[in-house]
Amino acid sequence: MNHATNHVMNQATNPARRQSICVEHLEVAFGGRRVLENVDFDARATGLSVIVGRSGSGKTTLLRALNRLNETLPGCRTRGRVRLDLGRGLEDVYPQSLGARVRPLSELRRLVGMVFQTPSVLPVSVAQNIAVPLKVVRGVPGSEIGDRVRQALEAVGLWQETADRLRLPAASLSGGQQQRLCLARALALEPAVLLLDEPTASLDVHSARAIEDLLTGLAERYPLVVVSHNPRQAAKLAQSLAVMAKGRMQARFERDIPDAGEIGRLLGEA
Amino acid sequence: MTRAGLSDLILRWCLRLFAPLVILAVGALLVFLVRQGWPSLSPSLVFGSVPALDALLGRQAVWDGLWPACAGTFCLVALAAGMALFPGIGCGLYLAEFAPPRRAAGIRLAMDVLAGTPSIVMGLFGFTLILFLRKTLLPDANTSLLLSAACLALLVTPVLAATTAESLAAMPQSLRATCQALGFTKRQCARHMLLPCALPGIAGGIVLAVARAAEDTAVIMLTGAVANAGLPAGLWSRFEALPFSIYYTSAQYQDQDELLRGFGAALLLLALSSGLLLAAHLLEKRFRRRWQGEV
Repeated sequence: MNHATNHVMNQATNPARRQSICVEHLEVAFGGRRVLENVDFDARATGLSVIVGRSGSGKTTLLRALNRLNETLPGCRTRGRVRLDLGRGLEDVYPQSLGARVRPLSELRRLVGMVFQTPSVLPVSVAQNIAVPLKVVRGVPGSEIGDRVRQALEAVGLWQETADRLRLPAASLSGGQQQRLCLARALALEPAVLLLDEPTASLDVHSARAIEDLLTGLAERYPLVVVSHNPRQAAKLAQSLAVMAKGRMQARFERDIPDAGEIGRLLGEA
Repeated sequence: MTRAGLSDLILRWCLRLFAPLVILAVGALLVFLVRQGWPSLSPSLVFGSVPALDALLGRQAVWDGLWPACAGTFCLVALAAGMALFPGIGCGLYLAEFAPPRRAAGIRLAMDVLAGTPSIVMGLFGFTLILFLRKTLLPDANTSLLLSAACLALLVTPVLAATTAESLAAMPQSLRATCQALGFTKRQCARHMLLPCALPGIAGGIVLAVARAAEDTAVIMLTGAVANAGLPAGLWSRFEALPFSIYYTSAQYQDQDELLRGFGAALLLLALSSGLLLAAHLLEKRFRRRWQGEV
């Protein structure tokens, strides 16, 4: 068995080494203004990848390119190759040639869970926030919904806090609880990849710490890509680190993740 | 005082005056109606000389009371609302969420023209339509409850479409983004999230449409309403309606008693409209509690 075969087998059998996200030569422009230029990025099947960068560096655009959410904005044009492992090995997210078939957008976005910077709870009750997407997107029968809601809330440690408030509007929860509810909602849909766009940016220190602990636990089961502009958080969470600046990938760290001071210095330079 | 300060003061006082002016106008109208109509309000105004239960169960026909007009108005409003609700809300939904901009502009123009059509013109349209049908496809066609309801539905559809489109357009863009990120298709997002969330606004449109259908006289007097028809016998029969009764009484009254009965009818129509408004409000509140959670 030669070295190359060995490498392939190793990748296939060891989820920690298997690639789950592979971005090559990605370019994204909005109405002629180029936001991402020749970006390469990859992430393993489990583990937490952090993308850091200053405001306007293109980190959120990179994240939204993974689930094709950029396309909901006017004038978006995407070039390059994005491949994700959504359960059938790496597959193209964007058609690479005319007529090439890719997963429907709704299915892709269901499998690539996303949590936004500010808690984006639906204007319904706590339980309905999880139940409605489950029913509509996954077609889960009504008899199973209750259990699935409970499991999702337990997975983010929110069940005990909300068990007697399930029928209250989700907006009545605290900011940290709302963000965990968003995470629970994404998990309930059984995603293959989880994207988090500065998930603690609008939270207080305690809520942010709770979310960070939760993400560390989830990273053992899912490939997580977290966008952050906080060097301390990046140094604490990252199992691999990408630094972006002016729409380009500035640096990548697969091991020996720099400390917060070094990341801060990198961001300053960027 | 500077010029800006003076204009600010005038504006503030104007605003303070205008708000009570609306209350004053509504109050004056109500007081006038109640004073004139209250003395004639009695079971005999509605059921005439027939016992109420017999009239309600349809055992005896009422010829000297307003019961047939009440029942006619109720049937007319229900039928018109039934015909207009789906196309009106559907058109608004299409305009706000699915229509390409150029097509949306064309539909909006058509809606504006329809909304600006005076109801007497709509009545004439219905009347001419029946004449046309009699000469061509349906020689037995006549003015009827169905024709009146269809013309009224046409009249109120733009109101429903416009309020639905406006309510949906007012939904935050972040809600659409969240739904898309969760994997909702555009249709699922509209059906399961935007429409329920926009319901309070849409309910306002429904109330407006129902009130318009309940009060309109010009359309029905040309398309099926008559002074004495008894309870509505079916979709193809002529009918009585409260606004037409009020109009007929005020135009043809012989003595003071008859005029007072007209005021009584007006008060009844007001009560019927208020009842519908209240029912719509309660339904909306109940739905909101069920959908958005109990506050």
